[in-house]
Amino acid sequence: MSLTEPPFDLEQTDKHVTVVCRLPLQLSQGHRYASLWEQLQARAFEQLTVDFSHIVAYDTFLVVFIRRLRQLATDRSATLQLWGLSPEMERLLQFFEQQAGASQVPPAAAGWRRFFERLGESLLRKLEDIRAFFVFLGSLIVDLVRHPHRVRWEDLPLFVFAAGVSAVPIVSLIALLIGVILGYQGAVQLHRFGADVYLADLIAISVTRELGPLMTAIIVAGRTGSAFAAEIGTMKINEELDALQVMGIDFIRFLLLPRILAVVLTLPLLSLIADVAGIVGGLLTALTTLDFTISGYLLQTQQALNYAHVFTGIFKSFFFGFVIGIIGCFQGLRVSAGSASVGRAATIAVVTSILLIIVLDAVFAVLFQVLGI
Amino acid sequence: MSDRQPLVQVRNVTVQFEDRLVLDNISLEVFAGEILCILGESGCGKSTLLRVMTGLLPPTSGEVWIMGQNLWAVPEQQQRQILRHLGVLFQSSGLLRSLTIAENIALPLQMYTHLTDLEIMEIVRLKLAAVGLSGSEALLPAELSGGMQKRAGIARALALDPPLLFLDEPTSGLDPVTAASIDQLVLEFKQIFGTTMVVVTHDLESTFTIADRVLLLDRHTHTIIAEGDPHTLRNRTDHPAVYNFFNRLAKLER
Repeated sequence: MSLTEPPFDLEQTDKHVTVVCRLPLQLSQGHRYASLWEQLQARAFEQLTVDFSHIVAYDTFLVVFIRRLRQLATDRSATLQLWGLSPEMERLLQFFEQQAGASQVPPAAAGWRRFFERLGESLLRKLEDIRAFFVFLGSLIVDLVRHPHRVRWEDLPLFVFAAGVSAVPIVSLIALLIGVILGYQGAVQLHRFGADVYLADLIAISVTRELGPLMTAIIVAGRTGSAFAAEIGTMKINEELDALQVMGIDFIRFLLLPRILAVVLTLPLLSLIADVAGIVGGLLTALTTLDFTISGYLLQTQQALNYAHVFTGIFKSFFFGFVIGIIGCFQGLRVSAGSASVGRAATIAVVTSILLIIVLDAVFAVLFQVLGI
Repeated sequence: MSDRQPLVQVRNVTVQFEDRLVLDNISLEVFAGEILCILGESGCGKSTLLRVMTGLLPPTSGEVWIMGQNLWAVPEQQQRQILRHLGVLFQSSGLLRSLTIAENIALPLQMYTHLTDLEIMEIVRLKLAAVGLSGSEALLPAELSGGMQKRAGIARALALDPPLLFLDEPTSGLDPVTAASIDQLVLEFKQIFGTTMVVVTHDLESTFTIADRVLLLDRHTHTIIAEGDPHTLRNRTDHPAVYNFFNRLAKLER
């Protein structure tokens, strides 16, 4: 078939349109019939005759083509005549007619109605999520308090290592850089007032109270929270959780509590390391941009810091760790099916924990202010 | 049979992984309109043979001719053109998990045809109806049962109406009733579309139902040890390995 040949011939006499199909009615050629629909749309007719006798090559597109012709004829209340269909074509049509006849897709609701339906559905789903989360939280606490001996403590060191020890390099590096950045910004501002010496105070207090615990929690949420969600989610898909349940083993104690406790225990320690690294970062800036000596800087830091500063940070870290562990495990349990769902759980785990961590931090900031700590 | 033009020709294909021989000098032909079943015990290399024929694994030596073109000697662009003529049902269906069933089937149509979205959706509906999955357009693969996943996989393999269809273990892991329904589907498609099919399987029941011709691969020699009509082969007693396979006799290697 040459490309210049018209795909079909169309003739009209009075109210009678005759179409002779010439190009193969195949999926790969189907788009070349696009102009047929335009031409038919533009014409008024009461009878439509389509001649298939020249068609040699055809496939499922033939079925689509004829269904569309029928639809068009019905819409125009015109009569449709199909000529020259071979017995094989008839058989193909009949085969699909038979199968497709049984299925009628329910019509979708109107646009605005569908919008509100979806809105309502998603709201209900969110409420259900929140309810499920509190049920989970409750059973977790009950398990921990009532049956502490049934928790699988053997796994705890493993998770402490994975969540804590192996996070030390990245946490220290980021905290160090935060110290350096904060130092530079602070140095410029303080130098204008001749208050160079207070750079040590600025670094020490902001790092230990806020930035150390916060940055650590965010890093661990990204590292460990997502890992928990993915791990538990995959285990759920592989029916490992079902297997535990059938064996009479409670997966909350067996799988979840060791993980959550590991984060709760290691996050404060990581925060302490971050505090030290942040102060060292500040020290590096102080030595390079202002006239500080090492001992002078450290002495000033010592005077600025008191236990309250350090311990408020550590105190917050416990809660941050709890948030990361619980959200990670909870999202893992919500995985339903498929690899995409695991990825989604990991993402939601990280985003939700970071959001909650920052909200919690804000609450603590107000609380400590009111309490004067 | 030999007077017909073969659609696929495998010539002296050998596949070797490191020092492990998987296929040893295999030659076979697939003729238009037939259903060829490739049989063999687990680990005999039948899936490897399928991978060689579907452009997934280059053979260590030998040639694969599909519709008169040498699959492994042509440039990549042309190889893709050839592969467009064949549909493949993978053992674990190969449906993309992140797409709905309808999107899975629409994918090849969107990539390789210039049809409008409306026409594509119509084709998707028809194909799904043809495999008995009407109404599951919006579902994700994970929400379907094993048998339904195979059906959806077949619908996707058939999306472009390929003249040649490869099926890797279409009935494995399915209950007898579902397996039989897949067999019926395969026969129906052969009849309606005249699709040529190469089926890799170790399901004897299904082979006796659908196969026009079978090939038996041997796990130890890595060659084809028998070829022909399955009902004839079942009664052949001269080759113990063939007899054992077709009559489900165990040979314990202790």
